[in-house]
Amino acid sequence: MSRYAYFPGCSLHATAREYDESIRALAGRLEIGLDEIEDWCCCGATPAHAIDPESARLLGLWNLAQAAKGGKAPLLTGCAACFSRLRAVREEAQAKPALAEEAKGRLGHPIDPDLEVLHIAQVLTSEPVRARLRAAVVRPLGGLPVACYYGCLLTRPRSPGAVDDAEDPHLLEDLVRLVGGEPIAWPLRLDCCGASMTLPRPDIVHELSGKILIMAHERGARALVVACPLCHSNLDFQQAAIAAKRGFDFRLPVLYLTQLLGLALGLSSRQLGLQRHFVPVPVEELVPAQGASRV
Amino acid sequence: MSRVGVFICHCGENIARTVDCAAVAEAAGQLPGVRMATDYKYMCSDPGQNLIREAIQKHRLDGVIVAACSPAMHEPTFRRATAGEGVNPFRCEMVNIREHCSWVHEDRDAATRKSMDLVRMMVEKVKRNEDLFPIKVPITRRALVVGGGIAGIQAALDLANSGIPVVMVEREPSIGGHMSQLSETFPTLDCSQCILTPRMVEVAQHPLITLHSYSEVEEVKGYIGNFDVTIRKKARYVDIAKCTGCGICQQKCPVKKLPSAFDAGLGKRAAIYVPFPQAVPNRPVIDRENCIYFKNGKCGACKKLCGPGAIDFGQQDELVTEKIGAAILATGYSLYHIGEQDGDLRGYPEYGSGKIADVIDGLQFERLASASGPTGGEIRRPSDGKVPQTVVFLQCIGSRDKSKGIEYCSKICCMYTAKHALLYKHKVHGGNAVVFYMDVRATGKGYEEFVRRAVEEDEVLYLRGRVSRLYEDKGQIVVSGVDTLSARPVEIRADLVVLATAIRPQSDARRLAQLFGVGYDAHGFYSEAHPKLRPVEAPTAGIFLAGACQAPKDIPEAVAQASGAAAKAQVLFSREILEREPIVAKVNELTCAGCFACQAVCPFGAVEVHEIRDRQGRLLKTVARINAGMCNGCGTCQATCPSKSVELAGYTDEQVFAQIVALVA
Repeated sequence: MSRYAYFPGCSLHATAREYDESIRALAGRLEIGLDEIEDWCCCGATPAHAIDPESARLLGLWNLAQAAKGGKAPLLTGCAACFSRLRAVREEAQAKPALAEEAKGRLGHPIDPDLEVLHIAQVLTSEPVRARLRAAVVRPLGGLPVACYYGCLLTRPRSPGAVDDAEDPHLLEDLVRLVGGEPIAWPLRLDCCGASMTLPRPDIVHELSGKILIMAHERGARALVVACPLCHSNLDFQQAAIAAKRGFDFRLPVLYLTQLLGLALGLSSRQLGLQRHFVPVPVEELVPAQGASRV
Repeated sequence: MSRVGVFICHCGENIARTVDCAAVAEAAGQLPGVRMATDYKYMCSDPGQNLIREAIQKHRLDGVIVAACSPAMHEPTFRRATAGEGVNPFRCEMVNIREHCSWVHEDRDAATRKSMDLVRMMVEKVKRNEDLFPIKVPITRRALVVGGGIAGIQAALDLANSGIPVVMVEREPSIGGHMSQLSETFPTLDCSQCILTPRMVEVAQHPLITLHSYSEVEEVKGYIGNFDVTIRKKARYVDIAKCTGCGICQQKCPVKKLPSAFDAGLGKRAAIYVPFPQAVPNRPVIDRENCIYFKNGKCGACKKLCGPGAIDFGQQDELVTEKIGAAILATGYSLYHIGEQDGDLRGYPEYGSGKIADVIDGLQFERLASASGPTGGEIRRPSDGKVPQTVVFLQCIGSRDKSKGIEYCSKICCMYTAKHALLYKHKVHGGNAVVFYMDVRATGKGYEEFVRRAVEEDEVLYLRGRVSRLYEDKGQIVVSGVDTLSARPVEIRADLVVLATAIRPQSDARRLAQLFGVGYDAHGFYSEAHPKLRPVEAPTAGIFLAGACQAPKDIPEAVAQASGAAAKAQVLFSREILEREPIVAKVNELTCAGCFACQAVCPFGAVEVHEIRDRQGRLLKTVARINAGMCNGCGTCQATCPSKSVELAGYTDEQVFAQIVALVA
């Protein structure tokens, strides 16, 4: 079993608890060892890095230093924003060795500039986890048409440490195919959902997330797959409000990548936290029970 | 004892500001072998040169050193002055105390000391200089033009009309290049084919032009004035001497639906085809890959129907060798494709990577707008043939974007995009034309006025900003971009999108450059000898450049450069005998061991194997011998030779070591 320094980030302990639950449930099945980093703190996302880059960097360095206490185990996170921030700080530390010294001086712990920072999707596509995942499928998705939605941060910024091509990724589609789903071709998978504008300018979120939901629905998706808690919040929690405003009456279930894969592995709705969603996930409709085939 | 004169130039303030020229002259005057030394404000001026001339006479100098600017600038000036007084010009040398000293240093004392060092070194070299005499080589009075686009055509006609025979090599079945594909040309909107095709015919009919169409250069040997070029004439499977160009073969060929490269993939052609009706030569070629006869030996319709019996399925490629004295490279450009992911090129998946039918490039739009094009000049989109009501033009696709792999400006797109938008508005009344641009660079004669005409008279909407995504939705293309002047995101539903994709060199431009020994930049554009003062010459003697193979260019510029290249070639051909600098290597055949390490390192292929035989013809020794015509005087052989048997005239080991000793001793 390979072990990872797990960085849940604030969302996965709060609004995105089901993401955390499903990551842990999946990890249990796929021999992914998660050791939650001790005393982790905010990754430095939106508020800090928009207003005070220095604080953003220190927050990132703090978390990298905490992770380094666990030795060489790569840092693993599920949140696209945490991933983006921690990777950015790690790359900055690689480029400027003085930063590692600074971290030691100001935070009391050294950081390891070579520490790998990984997103859960990367771990799932890497061997041998991928092979285990394929072997563990007990309830294949039977060609379920799914819209994979990357949002803005999962593949960006473009750099050698990025999960995939910034403009033409296929990581999520590969995983969905691996468990029997059929990713649809659609153009908005890398567009912005409105992100944290959800508080100051909900109208922007309604516009942007509405466009994504309508397009995914029109192109025949029965579910959206995401890998970011903020995207999930905008697309799931806000969906009713968006529908009212944009005048549509369909409901599109929004699943975390780990939840969808978990279903294929036969994990229960409760294990995956599906009951926490605002848009209900009709599991029996989406995924045929074992043995049944989709028409 | 040598009698060297040293002249220190102030170059106005350029040198004197940083270097104490009088002190340098005084120090030089103390050196053994130096007869006199002086400084002067402008050595290159008439009085400056007279100073040298008078000193040669007065002091009976046998060596002259001018410490001034770069020898690239004034060496010929001072050597002429020296030769005028009866001293061998190669006994005159320059020391560069401007570019190598005053311009790059600030500390006056240090710069002065450095100048003294440089002068002292040169004194030691000049003391050991010998008389050298230019190498005389005969010139083959015949030029090669590679590429039959507008640049090649212009160069060939200029040369031929001045009485110089020309060999033109064109890779495609017809000459004409990209210009033959264009609809109308900016900024005057004259029809491209109407102005080009008469010139193509002139090439074909000119008694002094030999045209090898459907041919490629395979090998280049020799040097300025004396090249042997091997040309592969690719098999057309049509005997162009017998063929009358009647066209029955392409009418009757059963394979008709092949994409026409001439129509940028929008039109169709047969497996035996003439690329376009005005082709020169107006003779077809068989596309072997797609011909039924070549696939399974069955059809042969063309052969059966050809009256003059010109079809020859057994035809083979033919190699011909042409002797020429100079070559003009005019290989033109290729267009970047947004699906291209190769090396630094990242492609544009956000624009569909070229898979959206109604996202086309500039050349495709030219074919749509051309009266001879697949739609007869009506603007109809490729997917369903509908007339688009909204067309969005995107500039700088690939160009000016380091993250996409190309940082340079493609230069011609601002103008052709304005032309496209204007042509569209003229052809589709009431249609909407929108242009996304970064900057509008309209700097040619009449260009800015042309762009303003598109904006003001034809109401083309110009939005300054980039487009982040193109995607198909309900039969249209959604264009998501930003208008940076109003700082607003913009979303437009377009029926057709035209991309002004980057101008790149031909994909195999590097291969051709290597054949001719021509340098190229990181993108493969050919390097000129000097960016300002020698813009049409390649650094390799006898090779000239014309058109977009050197950098993106529009028609007027390509034509001007082609005429410039032709004029430069005429200068070469105006002489019977070519004089070359005698700075070439020579082998000491007594000590040469015949290891040929020199041959392995020579970049110019100048080292030949020479057998020394006695009178009975018995082989005594095999040695290296330098072909002085091909040697460029780089000295690599001299540095490599294990037995120290090769020396470069004017740069012998003795001279170089004496300079080093003068510096460090």
